[in-house]
Amino acid sequence: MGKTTGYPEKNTDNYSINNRINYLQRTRFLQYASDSLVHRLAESMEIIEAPAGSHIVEKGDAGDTMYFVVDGSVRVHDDNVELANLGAGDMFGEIAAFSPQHRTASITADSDSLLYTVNQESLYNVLDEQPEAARTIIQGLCDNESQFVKDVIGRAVKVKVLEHELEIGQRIQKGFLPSDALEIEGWEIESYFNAAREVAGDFYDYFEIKSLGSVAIVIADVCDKGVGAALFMSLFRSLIRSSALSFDIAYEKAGSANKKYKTRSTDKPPTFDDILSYSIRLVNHYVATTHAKDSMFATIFFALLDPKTGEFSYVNAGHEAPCIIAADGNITRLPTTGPVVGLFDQAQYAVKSGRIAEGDVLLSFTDGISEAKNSDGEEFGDERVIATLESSRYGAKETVSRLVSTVNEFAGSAKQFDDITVLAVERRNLNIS
Amino acid sequence: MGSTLNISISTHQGDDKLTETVTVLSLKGELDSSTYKDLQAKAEEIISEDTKNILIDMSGLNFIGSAGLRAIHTTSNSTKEKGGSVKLLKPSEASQRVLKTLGFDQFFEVFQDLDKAIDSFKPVH
Repeated sequence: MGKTTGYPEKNTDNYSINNRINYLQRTRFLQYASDSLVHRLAESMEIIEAPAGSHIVEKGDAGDTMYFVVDGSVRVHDDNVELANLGAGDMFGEIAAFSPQHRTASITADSDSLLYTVNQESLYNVLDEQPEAARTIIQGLCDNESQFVKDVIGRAVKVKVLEHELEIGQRIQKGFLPSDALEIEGWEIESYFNAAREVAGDFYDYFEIKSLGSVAIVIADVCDKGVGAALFMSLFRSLIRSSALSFDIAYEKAGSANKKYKTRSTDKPPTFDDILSYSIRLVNHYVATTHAKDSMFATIFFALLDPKTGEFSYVNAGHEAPCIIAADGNITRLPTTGPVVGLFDQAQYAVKSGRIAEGDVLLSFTDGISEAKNSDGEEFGDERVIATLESSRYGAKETVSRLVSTVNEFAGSAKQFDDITVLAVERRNLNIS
Repeated sequence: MGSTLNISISTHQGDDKLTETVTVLSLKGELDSSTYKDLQAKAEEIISEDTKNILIDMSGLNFIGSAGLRAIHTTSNSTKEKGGSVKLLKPSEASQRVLKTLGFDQFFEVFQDLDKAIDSFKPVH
């Protein structure tokens, strides 16, 4: 690809020989060429009109023609990935005109465009007539290609810098997931996390709220993928943690005097329901008002568990219904109790409760599991999730690994489109040793 | 294997003369992370041309993902700034399930009938 200086210039008659000559004289490719060479090339050129949306070159096709964009704009792309935009004065395909080869990218007209073309036969005919002109063409071609290589190297450097930034982001994001296993007698927590890109919008979390003797369990999916979702992931995760843990800080302050602290409004210690309700409302209000313009949201399942009794309270804000898998294989779902978090400031969230009996597993996952697709585009689906879990009846570790391997087997060679997260909390059956 | 979204636009006026003009965006295909920008761009374009009442006909959608719902929410915000709104028409059973799970059915009016949907944009006095 090469660029001409002094363009764009709207010509009223791009078809006239004078304009063609004028155009070619300004190209870097022909900057060393004699007038007679330019004249002959201008005579042998063809002109094509490419209406907006038409395909000028298809990747993989054999090609022996070079193109000069005279008017309009064309897009260089590899399937859906846009590589460059070319306008009046730009050229492409010059290598193929010297040595026919398969096209390495596709070119599509973005607007109604006019292009001059020279194919190999015309080019070689002109060079046969004027063999001394080959030298000037080679010089021009070298200038073009050296500029192209400079551009490619410049882009490669930028890509490297971005890759490095993403690696840093990835490392920092890992720090937003719990790094240490939570040691609670009689309980086991197992997780699986696999981002579709370098950074993810999914997250899971577990932490103790010591003043309440409770364990918080969170799984969430921020809409979209990549860097934007990852930034919001860190926001959602931090808001949930800090709002829930603020009760511990309040306890530390009040705790030294009297062991039990109380909420100011009711003079009673806060319940699990109070904390869940407060946290989810705070996170929702903050994101829905502070970041209203972004329309970013998360589906969140947030539970507070009493590890002594197995009883828990939860809010499910638009998240895929988690499952309690009983020791006998029976499955209970925990459906939504309110809308997604971060969009609707007026949203109401109900708090519900449940119990994990000995031998039960509370399993939550993101839609990267249920919406995983195979190469035919077929979805794994909720029914397959349940069928896999019903047949499992294993502990946390085994349940997670079986679900993940079943999904991976189903997806086969298909590309993973969404982040995948699974979190399982098992209450061990202490009667079986 | 990219997903596709076709958007066709029509404007409607209800039977009642008091009813405001409603622009119907009929969607066909998949409204997901690779196509939601098309809806957003089209909606922004018509809103900038003074459209404020938008009815999104979802009957031709065979998939809607969270990115699609995000685009609907963004569009809704833009119409609200002009004193209008976004309403939804004829989601498939699968789309309806997604709307319900994510709680969008609580904040967006959903219609099964075009005429009733158009008439619902009548200003409340």
